[in-house]
Amino acid sequence: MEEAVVTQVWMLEVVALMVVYAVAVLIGINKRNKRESGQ
Amino acid sequence: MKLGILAAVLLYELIVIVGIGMWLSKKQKAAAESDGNHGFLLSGRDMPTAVVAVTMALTVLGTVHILGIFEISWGIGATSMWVSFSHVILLVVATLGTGRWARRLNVSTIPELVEMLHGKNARLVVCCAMAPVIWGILTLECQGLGIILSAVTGWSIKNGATIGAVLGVMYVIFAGMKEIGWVNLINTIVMYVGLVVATIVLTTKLPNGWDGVANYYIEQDQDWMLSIFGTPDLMLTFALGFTFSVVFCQGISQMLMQTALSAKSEMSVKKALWIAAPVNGLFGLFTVCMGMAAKTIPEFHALGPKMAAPTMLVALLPGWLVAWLLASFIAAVLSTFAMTSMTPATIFTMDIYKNLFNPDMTEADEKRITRIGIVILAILAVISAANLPPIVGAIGWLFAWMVPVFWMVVFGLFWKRSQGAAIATMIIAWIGNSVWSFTSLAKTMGMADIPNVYVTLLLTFVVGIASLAMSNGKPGYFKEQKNNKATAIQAQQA
Repeated sequence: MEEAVVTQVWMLEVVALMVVYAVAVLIGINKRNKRESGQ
Repeated sequence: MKLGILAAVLLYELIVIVGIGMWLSKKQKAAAESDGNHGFLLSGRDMPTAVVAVTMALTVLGTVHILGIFEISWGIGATSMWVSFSHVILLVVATLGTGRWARRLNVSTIPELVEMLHGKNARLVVCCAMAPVIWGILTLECQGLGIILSAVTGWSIKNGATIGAVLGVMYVIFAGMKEIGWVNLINTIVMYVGLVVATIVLTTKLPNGWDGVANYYIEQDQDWMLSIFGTPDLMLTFALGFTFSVVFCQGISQMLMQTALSAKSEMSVKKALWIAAPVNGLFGLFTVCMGMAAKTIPEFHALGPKMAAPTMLVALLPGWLVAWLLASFIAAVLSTFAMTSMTPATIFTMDIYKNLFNPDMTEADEKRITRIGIVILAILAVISAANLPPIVGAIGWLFAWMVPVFWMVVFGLFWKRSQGAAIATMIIAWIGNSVWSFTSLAKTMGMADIPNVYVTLLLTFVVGIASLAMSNGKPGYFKEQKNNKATAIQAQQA
């Protein structure tokens, strides 16, 4: 693969992991809100 | 012969890593684990100065200092020494500034520090960016392990990365932070003696000695490659840009701060400077010389910047010394691998899982979730490691992400705290970083050589200073503490 393409693909992989962490955070916030409203 | 070298290297790594790991793990079990000091993640906050120092030094000494320098010295020569200089400046900032402040406030993670300063949403925003950025460094460490093992065995980079990742996971999985610290202490000694001996032997094996290396660059009309100040253009685009990236990213990254947070006291972090800076800073001198020498010998020149220097070392040095040097290089990369797999897992465990999902989790749960995280992140890094960009350029892009976090922590400690301003600054700086990388804006503006760090730094200062100045935030944390102290003294006197 061309170097520029390799670089962009790898950058997107890092950004994709950011999205995964963000999704985990959103699920967690939802869970925390439910737990706190239950109390 | 190559198999013999490989067996010796793997045996050394296994004995040191598994031996120390198992011993510390047993010791931890025997001691009361739940002392509230996160035994696995933060070594029970008992690390002495020497262990803190070498761990800080080796955490930020990995593939970039070895293969990154081999690769980049090919194009910019001795200016690549700035990789080392920038890390020395970083260690000054971390041991005298950020690391000490974080240790004084007794937090477990940097996102937790951000919550203390700017609020809980700011903490969550930071952990979503910081952990993946550290994982990005892990992918580069994986590639580094793959290249080093590939140079000796002829395996593919992917197979080398897989074996390296198994060793890397073992470096941390048994006893966590304590294991990383003590394995690092032994490896530092082995590594430096090996490097000095290898450079002396290499001097006798170079076809025309070091004078021949210097003459090669002079004959090519590239004598600027023999100066650490290269050309003014290189100083601006590489030396200064890389220094900003390293200091403003690693100066606040969990990857380096976790060691400071594991120190016995704030004083241990401060004293660590005198060992950490030389241990880290001198390393680049050896690899720059090796990288520049490889380019001058036609048979290695033909292999290109990534493989020339490792192959030259294997070809020119005696087998026992290759094994020693290889063990040293692998140890340096493994130490960074261990921290870059442990810290994003720590952020997930403490800032996401414990903070949002299970606030009552025990230390045993912390250990279990972190271990699972380490393994998953290492597997993902191995998958990504086969096709990676040029190492030093990639690091520059990654590090640019953390610039707004560094400055929002500094502003929050000493000037003003506001969640809205902190989040707005970080998001705008990150959008700027992405636009600079993923669109043709930089090219259109004729600024393709300007590193991302300048973009995030400019946006951080403009947006961060303006939004904090306009906000009604609280005063900086240390400023507030100082004011409270003064008020208390006045009240006492009255």
